Amino acid sequence: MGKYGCIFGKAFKMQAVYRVSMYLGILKSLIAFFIQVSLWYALVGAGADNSVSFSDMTVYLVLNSAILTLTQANVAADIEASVIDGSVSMHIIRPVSFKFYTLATVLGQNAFRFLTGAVPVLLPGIFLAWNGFTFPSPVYLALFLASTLIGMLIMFELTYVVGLLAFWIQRCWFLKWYLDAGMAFFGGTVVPLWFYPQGLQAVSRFLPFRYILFEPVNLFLHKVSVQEGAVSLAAGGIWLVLLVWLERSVWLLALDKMTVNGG
Amino acid sequence: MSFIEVEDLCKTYFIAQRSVGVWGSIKSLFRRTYREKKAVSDISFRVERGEAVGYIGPNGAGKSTTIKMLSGVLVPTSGTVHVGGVVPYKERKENAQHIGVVFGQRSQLYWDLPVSDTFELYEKLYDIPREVYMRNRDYYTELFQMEDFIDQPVRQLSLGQKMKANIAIALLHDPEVLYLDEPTIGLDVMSKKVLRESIRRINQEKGMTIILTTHDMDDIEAVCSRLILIDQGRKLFDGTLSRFKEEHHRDNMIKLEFKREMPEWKEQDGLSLAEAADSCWRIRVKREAAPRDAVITLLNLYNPDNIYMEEPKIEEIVESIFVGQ
Ligand SMILES: Nc1ncnc2c1ncn2[C@@H]1O[C@H](COP(=O)(O)OP(=O)(O)OP(=O)(O)O)[C@@H](O)[C@H]1O
Ligand SMILES: [Mg+2]
Repeated sequence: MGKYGCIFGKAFKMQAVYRVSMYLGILKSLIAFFIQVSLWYALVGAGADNSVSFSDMTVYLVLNSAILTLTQANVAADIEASVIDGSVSMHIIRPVSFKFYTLATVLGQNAFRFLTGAVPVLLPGIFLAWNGFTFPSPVYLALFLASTLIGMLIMFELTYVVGLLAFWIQRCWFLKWYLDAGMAFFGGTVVPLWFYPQGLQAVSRFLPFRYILFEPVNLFLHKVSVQEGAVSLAAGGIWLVLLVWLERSVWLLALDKMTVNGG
Repeated sequence: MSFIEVEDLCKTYFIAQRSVGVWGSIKSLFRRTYREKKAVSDISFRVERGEAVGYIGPNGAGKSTTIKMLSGVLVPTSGTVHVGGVVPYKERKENAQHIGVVFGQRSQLYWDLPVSDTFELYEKLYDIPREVYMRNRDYYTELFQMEDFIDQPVRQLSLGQKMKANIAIALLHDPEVLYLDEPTIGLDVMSKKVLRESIRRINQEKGMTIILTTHDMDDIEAVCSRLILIDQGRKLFDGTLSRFKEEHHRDNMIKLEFKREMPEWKEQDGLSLAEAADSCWRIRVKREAAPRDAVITLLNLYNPDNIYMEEPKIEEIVESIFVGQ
């Protein structure tokens, strides 16, 4: 097990320390899931739009909560805290990359959240979606997995860059609100983009949010053609490259600020 | 070439000026004015392998700033630093493998997990060979008396226990030099004693180079053979502890205690009454006078019930240097 594996493991272990909050978390995700399911059953049942079935909607809700848990950890808050107390400088004199240290930590935390927040709704989800559900074909499944991975990394890069801004504006946790709002509105985490008017749909294509969660779900449900899926996969990839470039430039500036100006 | 070479080291901080008033803060959004703060200016010194150096000075003298430049956290404004032939701030990752750093105000431990988990993390981070790791883990667990609390979550540990653990993890990868920035801050007398003793043993048994900043001169006396004194970023003294005491030698103090009626004080050559309390006198012995003769004289003259010698402490010497300025 390499160093990043170890960091992952420790982050996971740390989440498991607080048993009570773990059980409450499981309970919370179950309740949230059933509320959403009842709500959407009522809405989809009442609507005239027949392109979205109950089964689709359930799968959407299950995947939504699963991928959300995988992208949930708030690195911005962690980075902000370590910038403010100055401990971030200790990372640059350890034989470890700050970014990958952070990434491994986030993945560890999210893996734990996935187990406690997403796995519990899987069973009732499968049961509810059973009627009319078809498992995605190998091609779609592969596209789904690839776009999920890209989505997770996009989310990480977004929150990481926001966290690095703490070097200049000290308190940046509120910027995470903008990200969350962007996710909710343009990422389709509250209302799937299927139900959006054309105009908003078009705008969302030019923002990174829909590639984090909505496009993977679309692929899982065969809602788009393979070509369309490949296009959004590529768009997600381009966003990822852009964000990595941005994050590197910001990091170099932050490093300068930390080592030349003393933070 | 010495192990650590510091040449004309300077560090200037630029501190953004806060402007007053609404208009001022709007202006400062676009153009900031900066005030310069010279934290370290023209400091040079060399340290050989295996030395234990105390780096002292009053608050804000520039001690932490120097340690940060030595360890590679900060880039010097001018001047050069070489540690084992490496320029710390240029080759951070290479440098990291050879140094151990502890900032007393800052913990490196996982808050929610036992110390042993952080130990395992460091084994991986520094790629420590298994047998080296096992040997060092056992050695430092014993040295710092950590057996009782190594499996307890860090949030339940006392300040002293956390400090011991922090020093131990900084040493697991067998660094060549250990930088300690106020390792005894906030500790009680007993913990300080254990820590000093351990640090001294590490220096002697492992031959590890140690640079230690502190405000407690007893730390220096217990651990270091050499002292560097700085103030306002400038070096004031650099030499052995005994030379420091000689150069800045002050008068010796002798205390006489009486369990009966106090005798009457008679003026003597080289002796003066510094302090007269209820049942004791503190007598200043001029530094030219031999303390031995003074004791005999005092015994003969006053026949006290008890007599104590008070050696000048470095703390007082340092104080007198700054008061004398
Ligand atoms: N990041 C920074 N930005 C601006 N000024 C700083 C910064 N860090 C330190 N200073 C200033 O530089 C000077 C030296 O600080 P330093 O922390 O090196 O002192 P020190 O000797 O470690 O003091 P102490 O004994 O209180 O720890 C102080 O005047 C301090 O205000
Ligand atoms: Mg300091």
